[in-house]
Amino acid sequence: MKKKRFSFIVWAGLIMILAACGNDKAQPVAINEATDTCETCNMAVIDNQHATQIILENGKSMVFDDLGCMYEWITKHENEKIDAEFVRDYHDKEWILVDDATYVYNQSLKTPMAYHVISFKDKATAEDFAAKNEGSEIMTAKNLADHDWKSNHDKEDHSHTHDENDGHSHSH
Amino acid sequence: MKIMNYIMFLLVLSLFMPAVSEAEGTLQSKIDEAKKGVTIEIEEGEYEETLVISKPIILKGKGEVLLRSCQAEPVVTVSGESVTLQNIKVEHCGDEKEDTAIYVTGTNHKLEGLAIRTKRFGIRLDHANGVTIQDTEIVGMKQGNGIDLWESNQNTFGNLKITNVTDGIYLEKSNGNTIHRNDIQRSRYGLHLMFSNENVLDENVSKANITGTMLMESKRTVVRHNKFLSNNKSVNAQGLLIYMSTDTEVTRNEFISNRVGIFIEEAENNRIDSNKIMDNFIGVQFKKSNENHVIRNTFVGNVNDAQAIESANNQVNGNYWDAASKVDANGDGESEIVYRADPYFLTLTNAVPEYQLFFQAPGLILLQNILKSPADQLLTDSAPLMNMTMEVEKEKSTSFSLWFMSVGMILASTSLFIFGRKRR
Repeated sequence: MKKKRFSFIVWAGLIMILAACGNDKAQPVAINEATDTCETCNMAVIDNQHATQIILENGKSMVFDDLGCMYEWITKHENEKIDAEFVRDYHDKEWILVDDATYVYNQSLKTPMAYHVISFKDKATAEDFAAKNEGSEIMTAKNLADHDWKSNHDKEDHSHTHDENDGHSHSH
Repeated sequence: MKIMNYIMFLLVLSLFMPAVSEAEGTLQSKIDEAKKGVTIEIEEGEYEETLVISKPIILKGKGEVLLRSCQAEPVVTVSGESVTLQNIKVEHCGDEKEDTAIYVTGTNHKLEGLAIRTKRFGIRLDHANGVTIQDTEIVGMKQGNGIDLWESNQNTFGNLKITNVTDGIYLEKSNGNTIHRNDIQRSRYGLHLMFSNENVLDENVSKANITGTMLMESKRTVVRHNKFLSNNKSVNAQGLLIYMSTDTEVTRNEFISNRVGIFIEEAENNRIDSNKIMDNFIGVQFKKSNENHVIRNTFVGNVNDAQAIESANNQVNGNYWDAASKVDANGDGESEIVYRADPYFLTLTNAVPEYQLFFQAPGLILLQNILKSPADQLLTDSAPLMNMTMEVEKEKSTSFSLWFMSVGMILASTSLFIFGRKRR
């Protein structure tokens, strides 16, 4: 009887440990500026508020220099199993889960790859930022998934070409 | 008592009066008083102040002139049109993120013969057009760009020596600029173009940086007669990176001793023509890039000539590969044997880095010939050249040091042999 109880305790303990392992949430890895490059665009990742990160289910961590680069990667790798996605708070650079953050899109915001979206850990701060900066749009993680990242660049590029043509016609 | 106080106040005030008249002697007051088009010569010496110039004048240093400031604003702010700065040393000692030695906006300014020391940015061009910056030296602390362009077009940069900055010359949304004969060393990226079109990079040297030149989402860039040397100190280093850029002309450049000579990712319609690609770990690397032309280049002494991933549709013709077996049966200067650059060794060592020990091992070469990489990873030159398209001078220093080393080792071993014997 004693033996049975003992084995029960061992089993219960083992199960609890395993369960605890399962609950262990993926943690973001610190940025190493010397060696980290963006998985999408190859640019060096600076340890700043624009850096983002994906942890795959196999434990592999990938870093991006811009939120837009992360979404470009996600759309191109639909079959990869993602464990967690992290962004950082615009003010204190704290890592936050993508779903927990509030975002501000503003065409005049400078981000490393010009996707113009920044992230905040609390909604109030994001709204405050949006109120102070004209042309801002508040977004949630759900909006980000539907956001047209690619055409954002293309659009910009088109307006660009127009500017440039105008410039030419003036100067000639 | 009240009257006494009043008198004292007046006396104290009068003490400050000379200071006011002295302030009129500052450089800024001279600039404010100057009429358009005049030349202000600055006497030799150090000046701890910030200047704002918004009208067409020439500010010229006589002898050693140093302008210095640790304030938040730039040491010199240039706006309007046709401002000239000549022969001045500028130092910004502030360490805030946006600190800038010289801020330029407006048109047709000329900055020449300057020497800039900065902890953050050297020169920032913001909506600046037709500006010429030449014969200038910029030294940073790897925390900001040497020259930073934002929506600035048709500017010329010549004979600049830039060291220890983040990016030597950084262009964002800036078109039609000419970057000619500059030397950029020990920085993050030498030249860095983002969303910038029709820029010309000509006869520059980009050495010992993480990346010699980065072209990102830029169109119709001309890259010619540049030297990309020893960009190999980082695991991500390369001579030239072309990312999502189109219609780039890369002609007559030298890519020597880089980790990767040229890296092309998701880029189309680029032309790599008549370049010398020598002594790199990987000569050219393609990733998801198609419709590019690689012709008349000389590949010598690279550990791996080429690697291609998901990039089977590129025109690779008439290059010289020193690793290729060549037979010219009809005497047209082209080899009849198709050359395939097989990244077998690279693929193998990517998976297990320890296999690098087997570099050039006969067994590995045999394996490579039997197993062969998948077709989509092969870069095939259908008409490899018999002779190099340009002269390749072998470095004498390496063979000399090799001789020196072997002679030294022979001497050391014989002396050990002799003395070791005598002791017994």
